[in-house]
Amino acid sequence: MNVLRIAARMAVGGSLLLGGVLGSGVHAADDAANPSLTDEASLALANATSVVEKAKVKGALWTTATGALTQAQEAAKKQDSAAVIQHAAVASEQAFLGMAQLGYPLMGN
Amino acid sequence: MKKLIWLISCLGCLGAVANVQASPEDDRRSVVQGVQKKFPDIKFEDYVHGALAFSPDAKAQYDAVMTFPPYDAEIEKGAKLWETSFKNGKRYADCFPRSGKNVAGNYPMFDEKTKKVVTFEMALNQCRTANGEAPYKHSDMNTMGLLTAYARTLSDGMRMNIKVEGKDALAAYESGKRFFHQRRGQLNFSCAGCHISNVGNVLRTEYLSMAPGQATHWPAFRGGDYSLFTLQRRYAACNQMVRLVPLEIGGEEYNNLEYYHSYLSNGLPLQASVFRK
Ligand code: HEC
Repeated sequence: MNVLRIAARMAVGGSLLLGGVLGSGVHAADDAANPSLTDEASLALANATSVVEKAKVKGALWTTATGALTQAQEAAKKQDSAAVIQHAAVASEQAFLGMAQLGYPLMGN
Repeated sequence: MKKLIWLISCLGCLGAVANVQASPEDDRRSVVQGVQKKFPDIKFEDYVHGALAFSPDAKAQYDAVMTFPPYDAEIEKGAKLWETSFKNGKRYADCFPRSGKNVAGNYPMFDEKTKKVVTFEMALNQCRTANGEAPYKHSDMNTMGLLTAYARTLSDGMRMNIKVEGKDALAAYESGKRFFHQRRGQLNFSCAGCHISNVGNVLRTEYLSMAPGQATHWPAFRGGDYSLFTLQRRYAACNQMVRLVPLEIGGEEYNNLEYYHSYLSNGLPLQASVFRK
């Protein structure tokens, strides 16, 4: 479980880093949608949205992931970048764990 | 020589077919035997009562409600839907053998043409579209739910009779089986973890029912307000319980799940539209 958590953090962190490297141009659309969110917050939200969507397609989406994504979206409306980043991290972590769970051995015979 | 080869290869086919059929039956038998071993006093036929089999009090309450079901008016609405003719004059009864009597226990069935599992709800919708009507949404309890609440009563007493024949059908069955045994949701439980491994144990305030028999009595009218639950709506509720966002009601995953899950009820009598807590 801990390994997964770290992996999820790394995935989130990695894409934040990438976002930084790629610069704001790539995320101009996000920025335009949320003019007063920091790049980091916009990117975290975009990342969480896409991981949650992936988990949903796999039928592996935890309600805790959708809950956190909703909170991130609410925070974005209030232009609270710190809260966006915090909730988006939880959303992508929980969505990631849901997908990883599909690799668990089958249970109960 | 040619004849011999033909004979041998044909024996081979027979063997393959027999194998395919043995496997789901082995699954079912082992699940049923698991329950029998743990609860030798509960009769096989009583598995249809699910959790009520563990609680005489709850069973007494059930029997009282079932004497004059307070939701009879809802089933009447379903009967009206069933009996109303389509614009072209045809009726649901024209789409099914025996005018729809004793058919529900054959569903879900596997359709070799589309290579998909067909639930009873899908068959009802196919009847609608074949007669120029728009299909109902599977998750809409006020149309599809009510319609099945009546249509399934026409099969009361029929034994569940799910067939898995051929490799595509087996693949769909296996996909449903995988779903049933796959841990999901933040609480990390599989259906089997509750309804096979923990049968008869209490979760919060409820006894956990056994998988065999679970597919025989839908829809159910649940709780103080008798909300109508189709079987797949119940799947969604159990998914939600372990903090998984439910999958689409009427979607392929739940249909395959229903195929496997209903197979486990084979041999048990259907009784539609019962009361559940
Ligand atoms: C955490 C435990 C748990 C898990 C996991 C779970 N359920 Fe349930 N389920 C319950 C409880 C509690 C009830 C209500 C008491 C009962 O009937 O067992 C219930 C009821 C049901 C019923 C209704 C039984 C009846 O006779 O009315 C069905 C059908 C069912 N579950 C199917 C499933 C399926 C399919 C899955 C997997 C998608 C699943 N459940 C996962 C706990 C669970």
